[in-house]
Amino acid sequence: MLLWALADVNSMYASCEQVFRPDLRGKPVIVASNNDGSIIARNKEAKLLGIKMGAPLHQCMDVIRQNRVAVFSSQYTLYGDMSNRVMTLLADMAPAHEVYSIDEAFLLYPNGLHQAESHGRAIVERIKRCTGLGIGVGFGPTKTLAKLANHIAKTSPSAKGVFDISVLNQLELDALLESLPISEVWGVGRRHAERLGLLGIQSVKQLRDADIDQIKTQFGSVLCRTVLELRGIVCFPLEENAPDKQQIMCSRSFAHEVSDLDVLGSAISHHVCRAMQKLRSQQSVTNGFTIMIRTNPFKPELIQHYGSMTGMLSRATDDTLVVQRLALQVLAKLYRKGYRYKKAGVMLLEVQPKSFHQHDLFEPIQLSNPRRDALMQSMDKIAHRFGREKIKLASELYKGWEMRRERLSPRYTTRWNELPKVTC
Amino acid sequence: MFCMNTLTQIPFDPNSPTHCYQMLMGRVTAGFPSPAADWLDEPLNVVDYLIEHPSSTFFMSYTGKPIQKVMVNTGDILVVDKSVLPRTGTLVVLCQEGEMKLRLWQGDENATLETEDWYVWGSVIGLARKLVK
Repeated sequence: MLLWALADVNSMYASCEQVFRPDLRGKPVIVASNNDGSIIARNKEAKLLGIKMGAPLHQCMDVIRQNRVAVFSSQYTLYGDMSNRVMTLLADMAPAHEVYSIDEAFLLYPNGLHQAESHGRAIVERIKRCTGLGIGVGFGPTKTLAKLANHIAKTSPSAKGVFDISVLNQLELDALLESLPISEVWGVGRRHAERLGLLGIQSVKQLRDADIDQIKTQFGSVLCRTVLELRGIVCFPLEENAPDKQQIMCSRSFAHEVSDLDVLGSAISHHVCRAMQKLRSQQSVTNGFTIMIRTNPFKPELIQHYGSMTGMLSRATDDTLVVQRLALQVLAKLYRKGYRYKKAGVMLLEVQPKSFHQHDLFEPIQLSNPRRDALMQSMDKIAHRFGREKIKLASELYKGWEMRRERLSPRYTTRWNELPKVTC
Repeated sequence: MFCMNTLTQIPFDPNSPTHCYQMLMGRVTAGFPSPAADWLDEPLNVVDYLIEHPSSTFFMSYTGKPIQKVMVNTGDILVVDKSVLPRTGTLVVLCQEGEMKLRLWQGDENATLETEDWYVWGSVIGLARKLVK
């Protein structure tokens, strides 16, 4: 019998910070979003203090000071490296796996497992020993049930980090699903949960036993598949290769509001560079882009402007300079003098694989300029080898749109000059 | 195989209807294949030499007085493998009083690696040092 597992690192970002800070052992730790705006990760100790996920950082300052909570700006360089380590180790421990997010992976055992629970303990032990991170593992006959089992592995004290839902008998399974709210089911969002509640469907058991035709007509085929997965029928297969993105988005808010067009243009140029780099790394081309700028909606006393404008290209490209030049022209049209902007972003549209690109019958074959292709390759190589900050467009250089990252920790695992320090 | 270098010597005009023909003027390179082609090894990489398990190995920098017995100096890079269990005499990174410290492990294979007051972060499996900076 086929078996799925979902492995999920406990409080990933906060735990990564703690691994390199022995002084924070057993202490509350939280991580703030880009710009230090809101709380995006809390360890167990911070949760116990009642600090809520997504809460604005400045509203929690009292709790933070009173309890000496360690606060970090998000250091994605570190989290990404630790994630790669975890994913490599997990891949060794199952015949097939799918990286689902920075801290979660599905593992697939096509022939099942003789002793899933002890295998789960071995996974937990290995990840802990090799990386210092805690992980929870849930087993089930479908992805949806494995994810539910993972929730129990992490929340039930008796499970101690590992739970196999497939060994329960019918009575035990019914009782368990009865006790869980539908909001814990993978793919059931808040709005679905509200609408299902109106139909009297509140527990996972009720959802599992719901009328499949009614679910299909009222909620669509995706939720219908979720219900079938709760019944143990596999509907969501393994996706080993993440599908290429059809839209690529890069945006950030600024530490301080920006009124100057050149500074705003610098931010836009930067986002174009990053987005185009992502585009090339998946061997795609883009057909257009949207530029977005907005003022700070949390300061209603200021005059507000939210502007976005789309530019389509006459032919698809992966050339940063082509998009950057047009993006700055679009920005100049969008920009209003006297407004204080807080955020800027770029989205690439109609992204498609470079190899699929249709050549125009009446155009010469040579669509892209080989010298510009070589230039883009060189830019990517330099950025990869020496860091993104070492090669920039001149238009990125205006200062004043930096992020607020006041509590950033070192990149312990990827920079020679930021290594953890050991004394005698 | 076209040698692309020669193309740049030809004025290249993408709007010219004949530029497709110009493409064909590239030089064809041929000659004896290298007799070593089937025997090529990857260049040696000192990181591969030092590291056994990349997923569990971390670098740290040592600052402190020289430890004569194991020849560790200030500025040395410690290669620390978390997955390697220390034996008697293994150099370890030990976390105590909120700091990472370099210690010679006195316990045997079965000794506990974690107490209330301290824990072993990992075993030092190698050292890296530049003699000329």
